[in-house]
Amino acid sequence: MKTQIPRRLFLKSSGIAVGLPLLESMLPTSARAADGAAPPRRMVCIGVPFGFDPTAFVPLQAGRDYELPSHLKHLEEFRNDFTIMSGLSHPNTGGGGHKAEAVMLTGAPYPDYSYNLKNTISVDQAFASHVRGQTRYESLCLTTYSGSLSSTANGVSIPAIHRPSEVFKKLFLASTPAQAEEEIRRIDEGRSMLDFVSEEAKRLNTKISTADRQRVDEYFSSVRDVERQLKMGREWVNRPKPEPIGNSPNDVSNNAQQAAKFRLMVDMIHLALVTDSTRAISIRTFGMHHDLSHHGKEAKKLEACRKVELELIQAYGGLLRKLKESKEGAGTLLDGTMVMMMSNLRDGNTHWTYNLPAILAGGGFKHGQHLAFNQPYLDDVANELNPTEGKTKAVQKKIPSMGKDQQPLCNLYTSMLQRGGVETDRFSTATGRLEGLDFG
Amino acid sequence: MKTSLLIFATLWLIAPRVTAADFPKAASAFVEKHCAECHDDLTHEGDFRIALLGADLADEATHKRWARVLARVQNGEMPPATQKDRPTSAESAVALQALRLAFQEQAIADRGDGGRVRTRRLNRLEHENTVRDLLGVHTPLQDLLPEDDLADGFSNNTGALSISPVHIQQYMAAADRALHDATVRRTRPETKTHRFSYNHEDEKPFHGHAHNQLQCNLRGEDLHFFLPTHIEVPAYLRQFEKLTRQTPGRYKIKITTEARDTTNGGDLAYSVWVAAGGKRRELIGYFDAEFNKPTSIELTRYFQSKETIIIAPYRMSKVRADAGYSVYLPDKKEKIPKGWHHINNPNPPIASVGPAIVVKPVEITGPLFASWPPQGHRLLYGDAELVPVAEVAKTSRVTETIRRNQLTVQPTDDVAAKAQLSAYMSRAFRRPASAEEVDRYYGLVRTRLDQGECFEVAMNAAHRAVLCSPHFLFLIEDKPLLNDFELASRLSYFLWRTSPDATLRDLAAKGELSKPDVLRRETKRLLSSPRFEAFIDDFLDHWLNLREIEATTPDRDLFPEYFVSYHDGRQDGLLHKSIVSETRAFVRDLVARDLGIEQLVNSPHAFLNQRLAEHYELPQVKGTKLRRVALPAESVRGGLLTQASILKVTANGANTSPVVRGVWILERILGTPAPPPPPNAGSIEPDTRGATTIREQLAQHKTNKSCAVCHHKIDPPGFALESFDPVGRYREFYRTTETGEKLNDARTWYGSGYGHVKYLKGADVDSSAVLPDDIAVAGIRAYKGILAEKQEQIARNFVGKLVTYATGVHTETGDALAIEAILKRAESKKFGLKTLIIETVQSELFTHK
Repeated sequence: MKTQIPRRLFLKSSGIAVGLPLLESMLPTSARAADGAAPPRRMVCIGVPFGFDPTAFVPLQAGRDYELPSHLKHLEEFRNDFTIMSGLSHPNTGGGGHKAEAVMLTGAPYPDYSYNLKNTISVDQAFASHVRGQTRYESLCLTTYSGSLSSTANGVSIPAIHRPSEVFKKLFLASTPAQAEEEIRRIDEGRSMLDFVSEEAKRLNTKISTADRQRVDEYFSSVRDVERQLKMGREWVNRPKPEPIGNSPNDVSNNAQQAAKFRLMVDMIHLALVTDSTRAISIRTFGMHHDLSHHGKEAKKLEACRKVELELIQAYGGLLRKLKESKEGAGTLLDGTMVMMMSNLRDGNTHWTYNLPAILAGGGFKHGQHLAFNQPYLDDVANELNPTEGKTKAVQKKIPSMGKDQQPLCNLYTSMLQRGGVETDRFSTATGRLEGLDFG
Repeated sequence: MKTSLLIFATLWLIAPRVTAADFPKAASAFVEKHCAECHDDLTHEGDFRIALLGADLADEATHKRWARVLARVQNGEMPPATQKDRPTSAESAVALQALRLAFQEQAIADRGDGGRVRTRRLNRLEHENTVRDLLGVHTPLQDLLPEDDLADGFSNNTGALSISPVHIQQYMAAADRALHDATVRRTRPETKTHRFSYNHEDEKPFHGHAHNQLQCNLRGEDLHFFLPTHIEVPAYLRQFEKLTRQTPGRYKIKITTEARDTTNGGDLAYSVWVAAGGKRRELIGYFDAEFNKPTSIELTRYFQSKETIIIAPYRMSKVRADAGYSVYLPDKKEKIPKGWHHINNPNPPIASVGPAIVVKPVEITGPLFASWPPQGHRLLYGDAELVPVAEVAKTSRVTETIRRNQLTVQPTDDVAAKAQLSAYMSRAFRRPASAEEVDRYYGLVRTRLDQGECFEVAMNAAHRAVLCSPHFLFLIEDKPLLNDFELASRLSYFLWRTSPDATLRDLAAKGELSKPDVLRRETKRLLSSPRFEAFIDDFLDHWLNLREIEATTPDRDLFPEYFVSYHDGRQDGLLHKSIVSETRAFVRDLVARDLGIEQLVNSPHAFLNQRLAEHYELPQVKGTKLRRVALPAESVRGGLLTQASILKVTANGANTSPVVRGVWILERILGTPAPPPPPNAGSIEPDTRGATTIREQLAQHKTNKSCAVCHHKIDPPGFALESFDPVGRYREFYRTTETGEKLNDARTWYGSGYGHVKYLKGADVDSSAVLPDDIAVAGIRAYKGILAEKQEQIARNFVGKLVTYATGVHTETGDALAIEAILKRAESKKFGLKTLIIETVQSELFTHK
């Protein structure tokens, strides 16, 4: 086994002031592929609430020889590192509107606005529980404004971190031996308390009616789960955190500056992956241009809306670049990392919940193509771009039929989970793997 | 036995008498007689056939069909008004009563001993309030926990309140924070009165800021505001920040202001905010600075560490411009010097004349304590004096956190400690803790004492377990008939959104609360307390969907009236706050005066302040304070539907949709929610360029039969509301941005001056509508008149929402009988809102699980 070179020492002696690129030998051992073994799989899910203008995002041709639409031109250098998909959606979310944001990564039904949502586990958490214990953090849930994309096994939304500096602290801030000891004491205290209250729950359940037990059972199993997490966390307390890379970021507090906030988070996502602190990351972002997204096709607003979308595409490209520039084993960090971005709306103006935009990069798939599942949709977009005579009317809503001109988005999630080593035939509403998306 | 008693109790109030055995005879006879014409095997309109109704309510499909009959006949929708031979009201009453009775019997059989309600946890709001009242702390806890889902529109609904590992982790964190804040480790801080003037050295970063020197300046101890302060450098009281940094706590704040040199002798307004880190955190309110008359306001509230206040003038630029002064310059006669506006300008002109708000030195008294150690501390550790840490350290291990202080809790013996723990547990569990339970929790204390931990740490092991225990986190209701403690909790969480107070606890302990007259008296007490505000805020947030008031930002180009500054998109804070406050004040007043529910939709008065009166184009009202104002006879306002808050949450900021508003009325006011659109329902991409009106876009709803089935009920009320734009202003034409007529004379305020409006005059608004049964209404006033006649239906819906909110489970057809009994008792009071609440609490729906 190679010895790790303390990075600071290395930087000092080589006189290099900048932190990147990382050399492979500086990575924690677990992050490096043992000779010949495949690098670990990772998953990054990016969710945005207002979709993309289809004329700028959806290629008009299917297959490998598609022409890049205006947004994707900014990702040209990664053309063979990503797959763009059209004609995907979550079934039974037709009337959910913005509320269906909650099911972006879960696929739970949201048939109408006043529906009593029963959410389910999100794809990042399904993956995270599979790789549980291999990294310090099971997952990171991030946001650049509010809310979170991720939900637990029983569908409870997991609070997301919104300050990049907090992520930095989690990744690098080392504790003193005294603090570590205190931490262990705190964990043991917690475990003993949880043990006690779970007995209380058991006792309570013998007293109440069967119908009343459901929530108390949920409480009981949640307590057990936290006990397990504390036990696992205890093992990590005495293992050193990686040396800090760069300085703690200065947080941007103005929520209106989504691009700046997202770019900072992209840096943190990269650091979290490069140090192998976690394998599963979700981030909810670009949720502050609601009024622009309702552009009503007014030229000025539409243009402003596209500009916001473009900033997001460029930042997404920034993340791909960072991952591609980081070497891992014989390849790059991008090879082992699935970077998926999607929205719960086709675009903000229509509020339609089908033909959702979705793009997947990296992670060891055969990329470089446009997987189109709804040809009439491409025709509509083409017509929108170059209106034929007499067809200037607003596009009529044509509800696609699932399985015919629409595929479940969860088929993509199933492919991603399988790629991540999770044994599953169908995640949530999937009917199987996503057709045409093959492992590389 | 119990069942029949219950039914009897409900029934004896209601005439005419019928029994469950009358169903299906009574109901079937009614249906045969009055419905056959359209719903026999030949015609079966609306896919409804009498022959297929069935008689066994245990069968799901039969249950559903009869439920539909009950709902439609009850609301007077069926038989239609156009039918010649309509049933008499006595005839309907007999049939309906027989149906309700049968439904109730079925429900009782289905539910068994479990009752209609399931054990549920406290939601975020209830959790925070409960911890606050238990420990006397103001630790913000809501944001620690995941946001609660909604079920049936409410976030305290059993169906929405799942528990996950995230909750458990965060309950632990919340318990630690709250216990930390509740424990004191010092002598009582001295309560002092400070007089903070803005000419103090500490405040220099504010008034010394070049940009602010233009907008305000010091005259001796007073601060004179001439213009709004710079958004990033507000008047942030740094001396107070220093104080709360040392001692967070309750402080009384006295702010004295005066308006000066307003041309018409008018008053000015300012806002007060809680702030931290130089930024606004929470709005406290808007207040008046009276002309040439120093007036004071007093606010008492809890300030967290490093919190302070910001005082900000309201709409000063506009006041100044309206008075004929430049907003750039102190004196209208001077010319604008070049480059004055650069923030770095070392010599900005100093404002000296024109309208101004004068802020006198702020008087702050605190920290205020009712007792020392505070109530929470004494509940946790008893009344014993604090002792030096060093003393405790002699006999036990002392943690780092405790060592950092001079004092800690005085150890007591097992008997006293256990008694204290028992008192704490009984409060936390909202019922007396059993001796056996206390022994178990005390076991946690004893173990730690035996391990050599100090008393405070040992006790906190149990305190923490209590706050994470299912007995604390869940509202547990055991037997079908609630016991006095369960009843106290239900009443208190319903009307105050928190755990029962001392009076309720005492009455429960004496077994008196369950006596109907005591329960009635207590309900009235809770209703007339200022703490009832918690109900108003939370219930209206969910029932009327006011929680979505921030969900959309109005379009600046179309509705510049909603902004104080077009350039940076700052909304008019006073207007924004007032529209929500109006609805709350309106409903609170209906409850307080027990006015008939008809007024909910059609009232001769409104709650207005100066800004709202301006927004609604009503005769002038003075000042920022909302008050009840009689409306002019021809006004379109009055009632919920025409309040800007409702009109805003039913629009998307740019345009309005009759469908969304119609659905809102059916669901939330009439209680007849429209079924979700079929999966293949069409829709069109919104196009606000102005070429077509929404009425043209929705024409299909009329012509296409499968749309018309539901939309003939949904769209018309929405059309009647088309006279109101997304910010609740009355309109006669649509505002558009691309297709329309230029409005040459229309000007609007842009933040630093007036300018041409950016919108065009689009098509005229047509607010006429044809309701079901071919009732044509010419607009909102006519529609409100129709609605006002449906007072019983509105009351029925209101009671349904109350029961859902109070018990955490929505009502079903099986509850119709009990709901009808509540209505009967409130009928003579014209379904007064207060009476409806009181009778709901008296109902078995409330007193039973």
